Amino acid sequence: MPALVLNNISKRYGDVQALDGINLQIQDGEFCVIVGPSGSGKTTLLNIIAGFTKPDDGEVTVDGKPYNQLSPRDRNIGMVFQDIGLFSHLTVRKNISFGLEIKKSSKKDIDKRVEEIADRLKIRKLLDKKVRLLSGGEAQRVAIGRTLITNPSFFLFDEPLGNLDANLRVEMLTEIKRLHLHLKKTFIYVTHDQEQALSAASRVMIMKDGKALQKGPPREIYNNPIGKFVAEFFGVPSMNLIDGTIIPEEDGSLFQGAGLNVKVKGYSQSKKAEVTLGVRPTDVVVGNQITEDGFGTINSLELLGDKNQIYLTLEQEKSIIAVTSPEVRPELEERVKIKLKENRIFLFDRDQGGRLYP
Amino acid sequence: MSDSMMKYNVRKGLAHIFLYAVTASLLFPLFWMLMTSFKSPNEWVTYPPTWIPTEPTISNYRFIFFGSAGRFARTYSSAVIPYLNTAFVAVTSTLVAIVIGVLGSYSLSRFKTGGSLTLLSIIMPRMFPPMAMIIPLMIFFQLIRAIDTYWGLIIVYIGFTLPYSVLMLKGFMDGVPKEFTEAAMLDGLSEWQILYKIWLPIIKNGLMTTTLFLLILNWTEYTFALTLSSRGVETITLTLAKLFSNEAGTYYGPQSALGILAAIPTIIFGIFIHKHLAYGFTFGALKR
Amino acid sequence: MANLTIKNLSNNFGSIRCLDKVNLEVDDGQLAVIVGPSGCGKTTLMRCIVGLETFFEGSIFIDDELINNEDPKDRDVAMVFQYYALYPHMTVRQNLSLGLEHTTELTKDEIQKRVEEITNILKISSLLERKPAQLSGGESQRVAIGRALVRKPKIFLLDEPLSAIDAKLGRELRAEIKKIQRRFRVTTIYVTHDQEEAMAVGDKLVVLRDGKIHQVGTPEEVFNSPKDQFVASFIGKPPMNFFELKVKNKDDKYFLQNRDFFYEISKRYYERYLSKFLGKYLIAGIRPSSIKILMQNIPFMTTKTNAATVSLIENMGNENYIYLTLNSKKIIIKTESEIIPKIGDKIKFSFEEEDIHLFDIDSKESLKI
Repeated sequence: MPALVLNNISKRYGDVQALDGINLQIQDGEFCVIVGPSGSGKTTLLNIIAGFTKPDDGEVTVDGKPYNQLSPRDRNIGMVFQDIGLFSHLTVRKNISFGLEIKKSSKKDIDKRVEEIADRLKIRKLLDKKVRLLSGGEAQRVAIGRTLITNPSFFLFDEPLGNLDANLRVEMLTEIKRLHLHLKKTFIYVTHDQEQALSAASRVMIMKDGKALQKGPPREIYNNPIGKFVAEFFGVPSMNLIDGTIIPEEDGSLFQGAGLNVKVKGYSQSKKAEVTLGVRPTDVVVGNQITEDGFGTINSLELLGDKNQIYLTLEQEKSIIAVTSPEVRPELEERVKIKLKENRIFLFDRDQGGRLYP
Repeated sequence: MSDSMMKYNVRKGLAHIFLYAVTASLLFPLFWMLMTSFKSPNEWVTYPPTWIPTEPTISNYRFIFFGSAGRFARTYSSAVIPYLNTAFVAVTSTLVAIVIGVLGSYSLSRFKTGGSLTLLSIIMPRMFPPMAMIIPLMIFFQLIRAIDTYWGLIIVYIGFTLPYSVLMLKGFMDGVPKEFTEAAMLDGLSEWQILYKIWLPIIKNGLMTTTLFLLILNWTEYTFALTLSSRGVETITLTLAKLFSNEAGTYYGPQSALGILAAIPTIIFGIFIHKHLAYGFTFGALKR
Repeated sequence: MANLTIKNLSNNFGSIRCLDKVNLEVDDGQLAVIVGPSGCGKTTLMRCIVGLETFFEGSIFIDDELINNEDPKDRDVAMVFQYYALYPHMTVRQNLSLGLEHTTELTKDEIQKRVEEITNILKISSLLERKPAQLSGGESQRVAIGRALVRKPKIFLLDEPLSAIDAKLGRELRAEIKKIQRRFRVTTIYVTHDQEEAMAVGDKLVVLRDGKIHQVGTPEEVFNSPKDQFVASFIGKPPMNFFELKVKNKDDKYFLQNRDFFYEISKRYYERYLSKFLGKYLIAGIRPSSIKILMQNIPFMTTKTNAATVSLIENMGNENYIYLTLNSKKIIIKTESEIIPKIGDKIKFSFEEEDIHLFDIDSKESLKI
């Protein structure tokens, strides 16, 4: 049974449709990431789940029970905020027990519960340390421990890594994922950073302009984006998008754009059409010993050690990126052959953005 | 409608009623003053009191401007001179206190001058009740012949508001990110230029807020004016006090009229800069 | 156009030595990236060059001219601040022309010409009359770069220019910055904590920690031949795996091994690098991308494989990070995205001996250089 169901949630702010009929079922124990650019409505949705905001329409149910009328504190949610929000002058123990002390439980019960949680999170040794002396990863555990004490049925994360350095961010995300594996609770995680969504989620919902564009496991979305927006949004570096024309041929079609001539075997159409071709940077082959789809000029080169990131300029000033193995070493300003890996090409409708192929 | 929604609406309604009541009680004195300023003498203290003047008149205002009017028994001197006195003294001392305050707080904020007790010692003079300082001040003022002079009152007012000026401005200046200063140094600006080309525009809102605050203090000051310049430089507050207690009883009507008139300049200035007040304590437009 | 030389620069912050005998040369037109973890002294070093920080000893030369005692404005250096520090009350045009008005003798018209020239190149001409609050992150950055370059400085400095920008846009902008730098051919110092960014933009990397320079070299040199364990662990994502291993010899075979790890090396490799360490411990480092997972159908190679448990998998789009546990030791492997083991799987892995980095157990310095 799904742990949390969002049924047709809508919300308007004045003229702005912040949320437009969002449906989502989150299974018990899932790590679900809601991701979208700013203004996509993801924070509004999170606030509706947490109970800070009331939807105009639609229903939130948890374990089959309607949730709309419950105030946030009755919803039994553990929430972890962007700035973690621990009391830095108190010990870890005090921070974790805070939620119970407000509810006036007995001292003995509290201690027992705190230690239980500390064991689960492997922070027992830290219990009597002041929070300000903790490392980032430890603080994250304590922040989760603090929400754990009231035994929530699920956790909401609101951009919990937004303020961190790039290196630390990767580390902390790994930490959160380990916790999820360990706790086996439902995590709902909101972020604008598709990279976090890609690497953390068991399932992702991509939002834009208050609508859910695509839902599914991250790998599936990465490999089968339903449209141009999702294709470009998901994945680093972004998918290359090249505008051009598709011309029918005997066994499939030919794409022409920015000086490229790409055979698309599996796609047949009766007449010419304006399309956008999409190809991931890792699927662009650069070299001299290949049968080329076209040519490009190297305009920048990033040697990242175990891979190279190559910026190419095609005809009509079109820039694309190729990610190659470190052995591929063209010179700046060199004109090179380009080949797009067959079967790794996408075609999108130029105006509507919908996927045409595959 | 569900039960919980019903309860919620009732609670919300009660809260609103309470808030309206508080607001009304706060606004009542203002309303009363405005109404009294348009009442004729026999209506000032009638019982039961009238809310709205039965025969609205502007005679109170004429009394303030011309010193006598119609049915008033005695003639007074016009309140125009005290009005101008107040304007001159308050505006001058405010401007000087702001200028000195800007320089002082820039030094404190930019170069971290002064020790740990600097702020405390700046505000310390304001911790003594002004009344306690009056006698020594009077003696001193007599010595330097400053009693009943404009400059004497101005100096006292500057001293009286300068601590607030420095403290408030320092607060705003401390909020200026140091990168702006460093960028300006690289751009070749001198220390003076950094102050007036970079810092002052950035803390403009704070500067306006501080100016309004000082102006209000100086405009409405009473204690020092009464003891140090009651004859030579009569200010509005002194005139109001005279109207309150004189041989003929209390002139409630002219008093109210002068009260209304006295508030007009500060209100106008407030309206003029209200946009800056709105951002007064935040750096709304600053990008960090 | 200038070169920068720093000799024996030291600086204290209170009682802490935040720069320790730093020596550095940056050639004319080069882009040098100073990279290190926070608190390593990189920002202090930059501020010493600009003149916003006084230092304790050493000398800084621009084109062989000692600038230790010059005012910041007389050093002919320009800087892009971390959060850009565009004057919020001035338009873009005023932001760009202010420095010229105060540091040069140019007339108003000449200044406007210079401003328009540079905004054309940076494609920000349409923003000239806007205030900083009306600019996007990327636009602010261009304006900040414009404000620095409009003065045609000898040295151009950037302090963490991407930290105010979200990760994805940052990747695009760093390529942009590099192009602009190349176009103006200005000697550039770029400070960042992000090693990938450093690798991507730098002609030359300066790896700094605790005020000391650990290594100077091209991105490739630093990645492929790290001078010590710190550089090895800091450069590269995810970080290098390290093992403390003992060099052993049995019959004619040579091994690197510890309690839970066992790896046979060739005699040639042993003689080249390890003969002095027989019976001793050293640190072996292997990059996550150098480790290969052995599939079931590959013939079993006892001496070179080790079985470990998959504890976590991170999908990074075109590649996966696989976290393994070998007894209590954590190991990270970077693989292609098609390889997806399950959590809890036992897998075997191996690597080429040429990909092993060797470090002294005490000095942590590389044994391969």
